[in-house]
Amino acid sequence: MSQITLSGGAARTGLSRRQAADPFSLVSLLIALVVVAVTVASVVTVVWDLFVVHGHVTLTPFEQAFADGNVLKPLRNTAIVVGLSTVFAVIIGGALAWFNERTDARMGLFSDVAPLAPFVMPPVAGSIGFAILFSPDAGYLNKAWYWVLGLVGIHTQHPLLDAYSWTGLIAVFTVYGVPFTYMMIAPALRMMDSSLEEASKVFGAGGMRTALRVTLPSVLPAVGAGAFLWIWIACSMVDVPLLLGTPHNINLLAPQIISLLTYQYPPDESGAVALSTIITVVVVLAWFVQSRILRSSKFATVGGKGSRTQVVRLGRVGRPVARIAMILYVLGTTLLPGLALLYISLAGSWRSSLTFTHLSLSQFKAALSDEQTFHGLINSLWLSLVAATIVILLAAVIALYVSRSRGIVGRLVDAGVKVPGTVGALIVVVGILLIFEGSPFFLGGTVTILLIAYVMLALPNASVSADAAVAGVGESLSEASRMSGASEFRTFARVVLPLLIPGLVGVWASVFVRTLSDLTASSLLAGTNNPVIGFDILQQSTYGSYATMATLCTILAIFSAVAVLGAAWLGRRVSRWTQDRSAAPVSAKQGA
Amino acid sequence: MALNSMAPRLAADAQTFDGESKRPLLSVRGLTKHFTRADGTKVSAVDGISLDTKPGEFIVLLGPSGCGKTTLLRCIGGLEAASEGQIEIEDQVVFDAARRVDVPTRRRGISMVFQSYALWPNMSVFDNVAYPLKSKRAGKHSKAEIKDQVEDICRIVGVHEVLHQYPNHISGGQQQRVALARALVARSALVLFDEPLSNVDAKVRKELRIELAALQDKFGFAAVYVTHDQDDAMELADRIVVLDNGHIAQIGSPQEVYEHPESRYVASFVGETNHLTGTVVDRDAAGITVDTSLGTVRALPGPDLKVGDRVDVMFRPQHGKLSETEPDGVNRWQMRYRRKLLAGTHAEVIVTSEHDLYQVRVDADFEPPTQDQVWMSVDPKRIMAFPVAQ
Repeated sequence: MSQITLSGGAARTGLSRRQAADPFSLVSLLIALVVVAVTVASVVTVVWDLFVVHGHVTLTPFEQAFADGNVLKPLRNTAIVVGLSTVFAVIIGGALAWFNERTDARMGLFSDVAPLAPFVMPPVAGSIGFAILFSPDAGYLNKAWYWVLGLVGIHTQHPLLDAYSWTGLIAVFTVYGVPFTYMMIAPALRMMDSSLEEASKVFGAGGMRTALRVTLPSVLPAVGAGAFLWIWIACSMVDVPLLLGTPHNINLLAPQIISLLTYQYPPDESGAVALSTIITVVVVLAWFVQSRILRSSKFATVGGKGSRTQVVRLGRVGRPVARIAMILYVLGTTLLPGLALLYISLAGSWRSSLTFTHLSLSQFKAALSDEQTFHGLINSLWLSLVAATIVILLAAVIALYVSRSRGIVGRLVDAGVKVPGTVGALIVVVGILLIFEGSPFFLGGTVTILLIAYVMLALPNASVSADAAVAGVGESLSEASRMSGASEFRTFARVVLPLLIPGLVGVWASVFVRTLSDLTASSLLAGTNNPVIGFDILQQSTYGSYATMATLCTILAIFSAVAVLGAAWLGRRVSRWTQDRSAAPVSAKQGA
Repeated sequence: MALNSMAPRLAADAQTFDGESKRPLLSVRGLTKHFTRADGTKVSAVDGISLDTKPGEFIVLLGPSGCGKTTLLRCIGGLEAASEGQIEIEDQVVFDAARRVDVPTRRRGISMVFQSYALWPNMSVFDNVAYPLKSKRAGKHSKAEIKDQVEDICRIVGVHEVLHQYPNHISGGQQQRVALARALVARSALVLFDEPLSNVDAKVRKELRIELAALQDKFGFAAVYVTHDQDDAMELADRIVVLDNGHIAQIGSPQEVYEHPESRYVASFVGETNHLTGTVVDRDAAGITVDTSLGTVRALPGPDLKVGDRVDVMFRPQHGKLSETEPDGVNRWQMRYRRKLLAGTHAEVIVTSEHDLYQVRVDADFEPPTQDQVWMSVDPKRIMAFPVAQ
């Protein structure tokens, strides 16, 4: 061969130094280190404050916290509420997942959205909506219940469901647990190869035996993951117990911690930390059980994409029953509470009977013209937008860094980012308060300290999701970009990030909703100088009217719904390349 | 394929290497790559490999999985940093472990076709192919230039009709061609191929091999091509590098490697073989005599073989002859006829002796013998003998 076309781009810049970590890795590492520093510093500060008093190591705060006797009851209550709600959430979430993924009861898009509907209704709004429906005397559904029973001649004082009772509390916890269990179980059922079940039937097992001996064990890791996720979140849940448990003195640990820090002076930080430690122990225990399930490896490996799923026919009776159950579930958990909130805010008060005269927007006008409320709403919206965006960018960059650096630094960064998740949200918030409130940062009462807290609280969950998203982007795609002469920044911007976006929009929406309605950080860090809507609702629950609360919650729910739907739309739009050929518009786009 | 459409321009900016054709384009010296296993033991995926590639030469790295061929390729590409050794591309040191030089991949001026294609699913075919040009590797390009070059190369490889589709919406063969277009668009002098044909079916594979060879003729790039498929190697390579456990087992033209393998490993990996083990019982000027389970076998006198050595004895199926009557000469054995396996243009006949199985290539219209017993004979010049690997 005598001729060769010359490449234009062979490196002719002389000898380079050994590939010193490229700028992108350095920036990633820097970001990761800052995040880890804040995390570790807050936890260490809290632990230090707890065990070191006047320069001496002591266990006194612990002893005090336990000696009080105020600990055992909230602990028992938390165990009951979280434990039972987890069991119910697994049952309901599992059933919904099975209906949707493995039976002919599926109803298209509705089926995909329905189980996740409670995500749109922030817990604080859901609790109030639930109270409006199921308050023992004035709740509209309970009133309907008395009326229906009255028609058949039964006069009773027993409500259908008492929102302020144990049952009510557990029911609302369950409603918010279901999306988490569903989210984990449904994909597992979708991916499971039907031939496993078919094999069981071929060898003579009936439907029930197949479900219990084959299907359930196959998705056990997903069930464990969903249950763990919910226990993790439920333990730190403040809003629901605060709003529904307080009237009958059903105290849970998380609101107890808040009240130690906010409703008494001076705040009992060490007591709060001692209680937080208990939550941490519970979460670590749950995590331990979950990892035992994973390690037992007794579950069938879920097949790759090549596996078939055979739909189970529920029959002439079963199919409509399953569908009605799904519709009732969405009605009961999201739609009715949402409508209840809307009704009260339009009616201007909690009317004793449902009348549709004199409905007006005056409550909304009043709420928005209240300077404090308006200010809080604007703050919340901005904080949620910024926090959600920062969180997914951080999570993506860190997940990418961790996946590439196989050394000890990568593993430490990974652990450091996920720490706030395991030690419990409240410890982190207290730590951030201790570090940033005073010297040298003086961020107390600012929006910035709220932003830091929101980001730190959302990062662990987001980073778990980002890890999965990063793992889904093959390394060879980045290598091909480098091979094409692109810098690491260009590779990230043009190849990796666009591919992560479909996996990250969901995370973005969940961080947005969670931040918008946050009470955990807000109750400790927000105030009159840096109001947020969650803080406002909390204050209204003590001093305000139901109409105002309902109005604020309605606004909250509307923004949440817009964010979730917007994210879903955006997710589909930016990932159009993943859709079927038939669905993709074959446009005659010209040029670059 | 319109292979000619780009030719005039290529000829214009092509440069003749007449006087310098001996200068290697790629030079690998003493390259070693260790991996540390989870239990702490060190393994060398690549172990002291030296290799030169001339401009425009097609080198195939051939070996089974785990022989280090992909690791070697990735070291050349800068996707993996070797532990020891030196790599030069176009007279520039891009890697030198001793001097701590490691030029990043993007500045090595090379291209690569990945096993998984690694097409970016979020970009259209056009954007995928334009990417190397937009990454400024070959100087600044105007939009119009980029458009022209992308359309040209896509026409040449035959994907111009799907230019604005996404990679997930086109067939596997088309994806393969897009990956090829992307690797060729910047006209690098060196293109790396990591088992690029392993994901397409046999027929498309054959087609793509022919097209690839034509493209290489046209563009004149040097190729380093990793495969475990001997057909790829035989049809594409100017030189085959057979790798064994991180070492080079043999380098040579396809013919050399096939006809004169230097070891049992090479012989059995390149082409099919019948294999026997035995002991050398006699050695003279003409050859050696080996005592095997089949009986006495006469073979060429292999180097370093002496009486008493354990040896591997091999011959290719096409060098075996079958007859119903006893032939003359040495190396004839009575076998049991088992069956004929038709392979289209030819057939393989399976014969056995004791429980050992041998293949002999025959014409497709070969008539099975009338009786069970047949004679198999092999010319001693066609029998290879290698010392048994310790």
